[in-house]
Amino acid sequence: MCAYGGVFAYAVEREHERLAAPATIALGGIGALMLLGVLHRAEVELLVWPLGLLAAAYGVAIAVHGSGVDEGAPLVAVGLFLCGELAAWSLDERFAIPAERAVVLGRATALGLLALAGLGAAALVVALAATSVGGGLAWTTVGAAAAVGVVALGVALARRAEAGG
Amino acid sequence: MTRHVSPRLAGYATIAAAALAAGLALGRVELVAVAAPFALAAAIVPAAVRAPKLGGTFELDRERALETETVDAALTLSSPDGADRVEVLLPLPAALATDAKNPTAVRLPRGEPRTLDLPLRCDRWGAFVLGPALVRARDRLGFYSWETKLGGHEPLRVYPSSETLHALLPPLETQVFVGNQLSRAKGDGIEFADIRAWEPGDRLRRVNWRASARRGGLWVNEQHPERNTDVVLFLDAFTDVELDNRGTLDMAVRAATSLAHRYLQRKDRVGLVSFGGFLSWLLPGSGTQQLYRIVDSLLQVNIVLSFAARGVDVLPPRSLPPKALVFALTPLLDVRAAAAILDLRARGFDLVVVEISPVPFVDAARDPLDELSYRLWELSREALRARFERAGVPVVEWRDGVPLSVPLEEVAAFRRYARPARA
Repeated sequence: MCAYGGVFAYAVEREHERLAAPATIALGGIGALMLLGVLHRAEVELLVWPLGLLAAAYGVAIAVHGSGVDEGAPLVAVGLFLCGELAAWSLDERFAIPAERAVVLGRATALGLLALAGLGAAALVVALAATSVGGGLAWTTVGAAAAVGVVALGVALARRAEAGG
Repeated sequence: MTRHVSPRLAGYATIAAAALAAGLALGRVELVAVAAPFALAAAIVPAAVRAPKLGGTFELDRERALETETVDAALTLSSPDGADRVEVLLPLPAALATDAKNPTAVRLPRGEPRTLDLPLRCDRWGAFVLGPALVRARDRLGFYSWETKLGGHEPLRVYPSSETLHALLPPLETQVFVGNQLSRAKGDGIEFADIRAWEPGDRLRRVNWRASARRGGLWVNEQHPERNTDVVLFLDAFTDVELDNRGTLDMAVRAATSLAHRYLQRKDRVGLVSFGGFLSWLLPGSGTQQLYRIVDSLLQVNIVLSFAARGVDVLPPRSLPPKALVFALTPLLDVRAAAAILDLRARGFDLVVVEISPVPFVDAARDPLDELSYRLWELSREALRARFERAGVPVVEWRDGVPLSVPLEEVAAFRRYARPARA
């Protein structure tokens, strides 16, 4: 909830003109309520929705803000990711299975490493955007291909999840 | 091994795809940055995770235990490649409990077996089959999980603790075999019974010289022979009334165990008839082996709902030997059991009814209608008891928390002052 609150506050604070503040607050607020509901009812399947809504709230804030690159975007990305992972961890703990210290440390380490890698990747994206490489069409094509690849990955994962479950 | 994938993995891929698409559409690199950790997780985790190879055994340190004793269970897990998080649960029946962590989550180092010790406290008697253990292995972040069962089935018999009975109920008639029970008849034995005039054939050593000198003729001693008893434990298994893990069947099993233990100690023959929806019997026998047979059989006694009319005529004749002392352990709730007990009395068995009172296990009446039905129920039970007493059958009530020797003493008193009726 802290990670969610931090990202939400940052998204609201980003919008200086207050043009789309109601939309940002509404999306983020609904997401916060959904996250509370997900945590309360232990519905891990719905965990993606509050994250998506907060990402949308941030997107609205960014889109309205103007053309400048937000340098805090990697932190927002990691904040969202940590929000999801920590919520999932807390849901796992609902089963009340006492774990030994090595197991808890292993998960914390893995989460930290993945968050750091995500931070690095996001920072790299922002840094690359800040440099003027040129060739806008080429970058757009690469971006579209990456988006298609990630969608395909998502579909494949969903199918595997259905087959496994 | 069944594999499960967390729905958040697909969710992360969806967020990444949506953020990338939105970034492209709006021309905002920040949204692409937002997608990065999610895309990384969705791409790296499936590639990095391998299904663990798990092996394991489950063992108990013994197969038999007494109530309140502790049995050590050991669950050994191993994985040649190691496992980051292995959750283990040993399903336990309500009668067994452990202070160890169950379930628990452990880490399995590569190639090193890990043994989890679970001291099992036997809270209540019963025959159980423990294992296999339910095992779920997960990757470090919990995206993937694999479920399996490890270890075999291990039987565990928990015997009920028996009460100390200082005095046992003597039978009206003994059997012909040698035992520790003093027969009422006269014959060869140790215990002095009477003297009588000498008759041809009497041995010289039986002559009571002091009485002969005083009476002016030959008089011989007579003794009571030592014989054994056939005891049949007649268990009414039609119904059970339970409250907080205690109930009439539980008490009946405890009483039967205590009686069997003490009578077998006295070299008597003890048999068992479980009379209920499921009928079972054990022919009378003696010795420690018979005690184990009886207790093992008692552990299998269960209440099986049945509406079939059933009488003692379905029992094999050898299960109810003539002149046997029959202990009917019954809550007097089923008319079929009551009719069977009266039938036994009519057949001339030396019968004792130990009524295991269901009253302590029944909630008190809350409203006038409940109170009325409760009183009617108690009256009907009184009427049934009176019916048994009219037939010359001693009926003693045994309540939870009262030692079994108390109702047995009541029966002894009943027999002392009442002549057995001939049905």
